[in-house]
Amino acid sequence: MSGERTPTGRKRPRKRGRFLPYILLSPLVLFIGALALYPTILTTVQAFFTVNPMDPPTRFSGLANFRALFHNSFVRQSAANTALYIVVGVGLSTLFGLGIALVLQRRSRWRGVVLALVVLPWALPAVVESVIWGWIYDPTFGVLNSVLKSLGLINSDHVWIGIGRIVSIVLIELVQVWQITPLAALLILAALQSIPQELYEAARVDGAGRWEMFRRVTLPLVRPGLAVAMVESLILSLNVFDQVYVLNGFAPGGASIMLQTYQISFNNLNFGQGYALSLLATFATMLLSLLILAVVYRRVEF
Amino acid sequence: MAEIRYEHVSKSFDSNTVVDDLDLRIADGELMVLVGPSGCGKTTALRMLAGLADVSSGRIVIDDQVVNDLEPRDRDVAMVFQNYALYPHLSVYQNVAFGLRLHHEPKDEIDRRVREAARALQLEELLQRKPKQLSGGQRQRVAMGRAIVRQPKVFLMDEPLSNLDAKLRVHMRAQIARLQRDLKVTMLYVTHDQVEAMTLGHRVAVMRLGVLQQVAPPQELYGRPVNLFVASFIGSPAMNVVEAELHRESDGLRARFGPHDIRIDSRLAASRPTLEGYDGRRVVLGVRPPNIEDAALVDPGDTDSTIDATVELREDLGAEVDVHVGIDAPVPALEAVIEATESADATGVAGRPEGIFVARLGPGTEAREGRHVKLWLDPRALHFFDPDSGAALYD
Amino acid sequence: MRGHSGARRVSRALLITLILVWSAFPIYWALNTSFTTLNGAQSVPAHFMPSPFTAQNYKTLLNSSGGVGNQFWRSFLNATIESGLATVLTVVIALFAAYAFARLEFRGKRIILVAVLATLLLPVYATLIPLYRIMSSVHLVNTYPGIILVYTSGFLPLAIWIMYNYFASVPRELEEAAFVDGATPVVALWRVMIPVSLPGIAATAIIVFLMGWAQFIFPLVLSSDLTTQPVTVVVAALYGQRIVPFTLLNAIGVLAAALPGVIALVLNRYIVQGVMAGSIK
Repeated sequence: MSGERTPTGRKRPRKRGRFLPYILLSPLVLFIGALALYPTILTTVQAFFTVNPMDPPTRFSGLANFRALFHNSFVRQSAANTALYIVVGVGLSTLFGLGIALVLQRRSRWRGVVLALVVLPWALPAVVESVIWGWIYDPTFGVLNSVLKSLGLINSDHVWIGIGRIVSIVLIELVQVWQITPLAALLILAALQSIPQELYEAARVDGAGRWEMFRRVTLPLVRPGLAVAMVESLILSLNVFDQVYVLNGFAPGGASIMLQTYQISFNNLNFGQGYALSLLATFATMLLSLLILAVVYRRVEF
Repeated sequence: MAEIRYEHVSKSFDSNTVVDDLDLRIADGELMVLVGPSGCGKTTALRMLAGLADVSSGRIVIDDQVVNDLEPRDRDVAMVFQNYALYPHLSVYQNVAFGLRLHHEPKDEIDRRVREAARALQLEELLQRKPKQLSGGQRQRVAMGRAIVRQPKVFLMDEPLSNLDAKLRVHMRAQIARLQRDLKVTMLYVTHDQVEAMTLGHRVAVMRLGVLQQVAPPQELYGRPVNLFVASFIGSPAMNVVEAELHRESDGLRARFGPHDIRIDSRLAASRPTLEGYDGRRVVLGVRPPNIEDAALVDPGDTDSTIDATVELREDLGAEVDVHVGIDAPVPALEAVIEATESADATGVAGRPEGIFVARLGPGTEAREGRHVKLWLDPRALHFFDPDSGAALYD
Repeated sequence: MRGHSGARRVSRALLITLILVWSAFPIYWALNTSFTTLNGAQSVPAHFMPSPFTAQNYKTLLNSSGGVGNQFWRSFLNATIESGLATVLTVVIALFAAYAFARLEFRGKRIILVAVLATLLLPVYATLIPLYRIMSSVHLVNTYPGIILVYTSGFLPLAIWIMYNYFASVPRELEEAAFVDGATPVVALWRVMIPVSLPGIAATAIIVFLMGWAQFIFPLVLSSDLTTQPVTVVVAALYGQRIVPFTLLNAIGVLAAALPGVIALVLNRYIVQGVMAGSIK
């Protein structure tokens, strides 16, 4: 708080009103306990059970679910697909986000307007965006083909989604990138803005050019923001569902883990395996998040 | 009727003792100033009285009632914060009325009191404005209005003037003093500025590192400081201190430091019997800048109290001239002195360099930088301190 | 970093244009497609302005006797009610909780806070299936309350995080002044904290509402028919069935995007502040 003074006695006496915090927190604890923690525990435990209305009763089955998943070629394929979704999603959203944040860093007349438009894709439902982009990707009438043809880059109409596996995945993920880049941009922008101006000025006095300043001041100090943005993008792209569902349905050529989980649980009604897959995906998320944090994050204090 | 008593009050954080066994009594209607350098515990002491901080041990008593376990709202105190803490979403009127509304005072009573306070603080024009539309001085007055209007038993002020510019500070100081006088309310005022302390307080309590050093009316603090810290902290420019050796000659007690040897007034020596015990030993000698004169402008008869020195720096202040001279003698490196002068020296000089005295001379002095000057140290205005403990030597 | 030179200005303007095009193009294209006839939209090469221009698609939708129109507006209503009520519930609960975390000391504070924030990292998976089965067992599937409860539990951690940061940034002296003036903690919360933090509360509400409106997989699982299906589910279904002509579909998309879009454009300031305040990790 005040720089000079040592934190003096900011603690308040805690005589009466000792129950107040617990009263204030009880709704929260109720909700989180019942609808977040309990389900999570359920998922974790029941992953080791056979839970299937088509195959009653619910019984312990150890690692059977997991084994079945590993042997399921669709599951393996969706895992590979998701890996690509993640690479494209995290890579592009972070790159674009960084670019946007750098441009928006300086105050200008246009910044308010630009910010408003930049944030727009993040505010719209992913499903609606998928429908709109689906129309852009349309083989016969889509504007993508139209523009590429008139630029002479292609000769005939390409089918973008559903034929080529990698192309499908990249283009589907592009729709998600469109949506999550604003979030990355804002997170990185916050980190950029926390870098004191004096550091740039000192670098300038020391003779650094723009590129130098970027490399030596900006990049190192924006790492915490980058790490957070990347982890957010990781979680979102690992979870990708809406865009895949709308643009590609359950076709294995582009199915994501989330889609696969949904199919196994609600189409095949094999809840036990659904739980198992959920658990695996959760672990993967945590592991990858930690990986990103370990590599990219650096504690920065001014 | 609100007398305040701190009885053996201590406050620690983990292993850090911030206030150490504070015993202080503030009479009803008194303006007590709590002063000291940063971290001395004065703000913590204030906050404990307000109820914003726990008391680790001891009792705080307001009006014969132990308030340790009372919430701030039950203590009938009002507080002005250093950063004013005005409610940004409320108008000036609503800010001032806030406390009254919480106490469910009748509407017309609230209105009457708010307008009365606004008149007293020249806030009438500003009643509908929001805090962010006000200047620093105006905000400060609103903070005061909010406190006055509650007619509390005790008024607490936490460095209320430290965010104002110098001129405004002087003006507001006078207003606060007048206010306290008119309202006759007991006030505890915390500041790190010893000038503020000296001009405002009926009595001033000097604190250092959590320990109360001395409580006395300003003049007594100035004239009879109880230790080296108080002596160096109070008074601006700070007291000059030097290590000296006392020796008794036929004409009385003298002090020798560096190449200088001055006499101590015999009546002064007589009223300081402990000094006898220091004959032939080291003491810390102190003399305040205003008690040093240009020997050329003073009755030349008394050469026994003059020293020869080279002028390092001359600062013309208009009605006075501050002259920094090198005296060629070791200045005691006691922590107390350094801390006191660093934080309290109003001339803005952090610490006093080795072997420099500051003399406040009349405007007629001809002292020049680089040249010699003869300075007369008033032998009746000398201070003595034990060189190890820093305690002042009186009787 | 002082891009005063002409070349820098130009390249900066170029970049900004690029960003604007990237952000706005798909929406512009949807508008373009929706304001024309099927033939006009199917023209090759594609037209960049609707030609011929017609508002027929929108008229069809606003005319509530049409089947598709009915479906759409019912789902629009559902989405708004579900998201709106979930927002209210979330904000109220999160507000109290965030205040407790930011300002009160109590045993177990650290544990609870960590637990709540940890759920932020939980992916959708961890709770989707069990929540369905829980709601199913209490017969709340395909009901507003069921969906609202699920939404709320999902949004609470983020809402608390944002509001906690806001509350923590309010100077303590404000509440201390209130205490000295005679307020209890509850009064201080009501009369000082909340009014001063209104921007943060607004930001939280807006972000939560937008997230609620965009939900897909949860309502897909929890709503079985138009009683509770929100816009996202209906739009996805219409797209998948390939019965609706894409001009009409794009019009639906535009209308579906209209509510969140307008909110995002008009209340942009709050969204940006909210996200950036929440990024202090």
